[in-house]
Amino acid sequence: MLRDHAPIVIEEFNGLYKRGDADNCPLDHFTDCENVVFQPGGVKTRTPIAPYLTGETILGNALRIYNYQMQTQDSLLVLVEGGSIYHVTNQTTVQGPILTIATMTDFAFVAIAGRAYISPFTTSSSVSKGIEDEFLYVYKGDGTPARKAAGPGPISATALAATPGVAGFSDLGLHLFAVVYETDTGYLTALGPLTAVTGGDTRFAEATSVDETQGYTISNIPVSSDSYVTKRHIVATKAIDSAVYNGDQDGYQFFFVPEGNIDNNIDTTKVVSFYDIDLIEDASHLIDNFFEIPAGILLTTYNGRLVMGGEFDNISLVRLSAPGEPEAIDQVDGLIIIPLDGDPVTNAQAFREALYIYKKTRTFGTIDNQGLPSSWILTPIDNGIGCDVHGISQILDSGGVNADYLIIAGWAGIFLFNGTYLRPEGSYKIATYWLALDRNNFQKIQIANDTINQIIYMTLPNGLILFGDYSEAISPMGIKWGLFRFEFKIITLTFTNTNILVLGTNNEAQDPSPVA
Amino acid sequence: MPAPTNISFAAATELTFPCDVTQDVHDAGTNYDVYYKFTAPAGSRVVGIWVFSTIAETYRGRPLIYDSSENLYYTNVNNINKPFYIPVTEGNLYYIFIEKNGDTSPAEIRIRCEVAPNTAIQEGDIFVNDDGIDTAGAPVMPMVVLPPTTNNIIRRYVNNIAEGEGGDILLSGIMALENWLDDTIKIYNVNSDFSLVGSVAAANGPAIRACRGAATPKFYVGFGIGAAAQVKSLLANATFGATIWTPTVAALNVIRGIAASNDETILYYAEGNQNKAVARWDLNTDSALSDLVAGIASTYIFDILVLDDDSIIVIYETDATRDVNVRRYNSAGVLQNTYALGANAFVNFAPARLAYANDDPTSFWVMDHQTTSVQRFRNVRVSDGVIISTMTQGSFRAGAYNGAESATPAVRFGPSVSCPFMIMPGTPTPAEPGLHFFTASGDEHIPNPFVRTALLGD
Repeated sequence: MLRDHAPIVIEEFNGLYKRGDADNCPLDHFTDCENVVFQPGGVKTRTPIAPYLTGETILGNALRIYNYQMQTQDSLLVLVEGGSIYHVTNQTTVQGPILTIATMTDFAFVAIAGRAYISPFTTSSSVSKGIEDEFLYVYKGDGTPARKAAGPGPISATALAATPGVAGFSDLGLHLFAVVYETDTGYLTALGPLTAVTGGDTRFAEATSVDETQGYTISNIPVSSDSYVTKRHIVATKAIDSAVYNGDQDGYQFFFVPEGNIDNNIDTTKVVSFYDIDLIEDASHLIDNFFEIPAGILLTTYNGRLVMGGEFDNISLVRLSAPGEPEAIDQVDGLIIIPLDGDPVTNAQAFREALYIYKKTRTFGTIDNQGLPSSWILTPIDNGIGCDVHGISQILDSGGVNADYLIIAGWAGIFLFNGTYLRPEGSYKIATYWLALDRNNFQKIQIANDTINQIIYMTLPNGLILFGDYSEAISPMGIKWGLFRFEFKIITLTFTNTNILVLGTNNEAQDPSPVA
Repeated sequence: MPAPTNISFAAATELTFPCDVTQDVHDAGTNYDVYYKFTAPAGSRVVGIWVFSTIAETYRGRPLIYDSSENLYYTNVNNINKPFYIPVTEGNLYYIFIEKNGDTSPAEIRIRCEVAPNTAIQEGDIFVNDDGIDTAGAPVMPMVVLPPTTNNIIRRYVNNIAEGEGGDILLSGIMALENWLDDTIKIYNVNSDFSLVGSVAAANGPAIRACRGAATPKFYVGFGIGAAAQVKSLLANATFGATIWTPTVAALNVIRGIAASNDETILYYAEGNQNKAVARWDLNTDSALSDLVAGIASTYIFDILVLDDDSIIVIYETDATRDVNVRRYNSAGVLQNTYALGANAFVNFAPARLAYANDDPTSFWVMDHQTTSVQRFRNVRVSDGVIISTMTQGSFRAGAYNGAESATPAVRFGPSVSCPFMIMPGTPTPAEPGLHFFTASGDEHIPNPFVRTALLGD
């Protein structure tokens, strides 16, 4: 001990501090640190890493990974260079590729009822959009390739026929009949059949009941050439006044016929009987649904609806499905237009009762009024703070809601959000470091939140991992920041099996360490 | 039991590999010396032989090996009842003569023979040549190649390799080894199946250390005693450089640890006795510089490394308790790290040794002895001293297992007990990109864990 010098005791190590000059760094913080983690009263080298896969498969440079919660287990969806997505069900089993799109460099994902919905997108000049002429895909989790979500309605070269006279019951009068396909994911297609003739109009069957004790034989029911069509449904109108019917089949309301299901994709005839009062479940809303849903850059859920947005041709549009029907997206009413400013929507997240929609530097909110999405009111929340495509923290499976806040990484910093952005920002202590990050590559920031150990992790544009240990306090001054560096760049990360952090790595050249 | 009939070279019993045969060598109050023979199988370089009698019995058969001309080929007082290995030439005939130690009964022997593994060398493998001790009665014993992280498994042996205590390897795969038998240093090309590149004279020593950071990678070798001590550079083509340096070495002493700075301006060296400093010698002016660090009482220095970041690694071993401490200094002699590695089980004066790692300067390797029969190889991380990996092998002395007699020895093959060791060079294989996860058992390198505080400034 030197005479006339008072000792400085440092009892806690509170992480990285990069705000202004190095002289500003408090004594209990680090001007630089890498590859260390914090423990009470000390700091130690971080845990090493090892390859996650132990089998023979080598996936190559990872571009994006998600935790995919199936109905039976956790698993991973992994996009690698070349545009292939694989399904990793455990450390030794890799299925797929389940989807390959050569131009896909990223994808949005959400799991609903054990199925994975995948939207391919790419980033060009720091702008992320759905891939042109690409679509939303659905994957059942069983290793069979993903297919386009939704699907075309019935098409047939032979007109559908409806013949009264079979024993049964019916209301007298003219009725129209049509067919709806049901896919293996529960999607109900638009009504058909359309004729197979180019430019052909819808050809619903027409039949008039003249005997209340008779039902109808529906014949020439189209059979789908797609193996994912597993059922067909007969739909019909209520009685139409034949005096005013001029053959124009548009505009009439169709309903699902009770017991009008055909539980296969084989039969071509069906006998149905019904009274008009039995026609309750509307089918007309299916008419305007997309049979191919354009790809976008965001996928989430809100009040039982699938939410997606950021299409190639509609960068400020967010679409929502019918409640409980993730693939039923109405082309006319199932959308919300975010104010046009030349920037695309980047993210969306349900939080408490609202749906928040983001652009890179703007945040909006809306609330389900139980009506059509096009009727919802959109409210600006913040015109200076937003986030990029993966910049909202996620916990396993439930997408972002942790305690009473979201964690959002935007150009201005890492913020806690509870309906408004809390100030000061969570990245207060590392503001200088954060603001120096490359904004053109903020789409590379992906956040994962370990709620057990109370640490958030995020990939950075420079290939490092930034972590924030908030086990002692989730406050700008209480959180302990640090950096992890590896022998390769970390591009993506996610938690699986609750708190196993899986890293997607890329062997691009790494920037040098400050102590190299 | 009838009396054995294989009691002469001519009547030797044929063995085929692998073999497991038993014989009762006792009859009517007499134990018999017996003979077996085998032809070295195709592709064999080394064979392992184990002649075993139940430990509870008094009888012990001592195996000696004769060549096809019935000349003594291999004898080792330490191979009684223990596994041993010998170099062979495929297709050649060899005899196993099992000599009795009296006429006690029962006197039963069990002979097990097998060909040593012979698998391809991989980057990161560990080379350990023989130290040449107990050369009388033994052929030139082979070098073993070990996988770096698998216990009690060898990759292969390499025959006709120099035996001695000094050696190192360049990143190009050029290996320099002291050859005890003829006072030379042999240069081999590992990548050319250990072809001999050349040989230079170097008596009394030599200490050998690769200078991998030199513009032209080479070795620095120190040999000679006292005032006659010299240091020369040794090139990959087995020629000495033109300059001869004459660092100060005490009378009757030799240079033990040696390493040149990467810019080849300073030689760091230590003499063989205890309490010796890490001295510095100016390679430009052939004159003394101040010591890097002073000697440590009752402590020997056996090896020195200069890492790629110019820091100096020195291995210290205390005299009495054989405690091994490795210290890392910067070029100014300021201590950066101390790595306390525990005691080296003192085995026939087999000191702990150092070797460069392929991820230099991130880590280095240490070889010592966990017990008198178990050799230990540890990969030590420079930044914090964490042992990245530990691998153990059963020790052998002049080919014979150095552990106690056992009906179930842990190994049949292994490294020589005292010797230099080297790591097969190559760029560390980058991890396959794809998916990784945090696990305490992970072995991916952790680049430079560090913290820096405001107290130290930028």
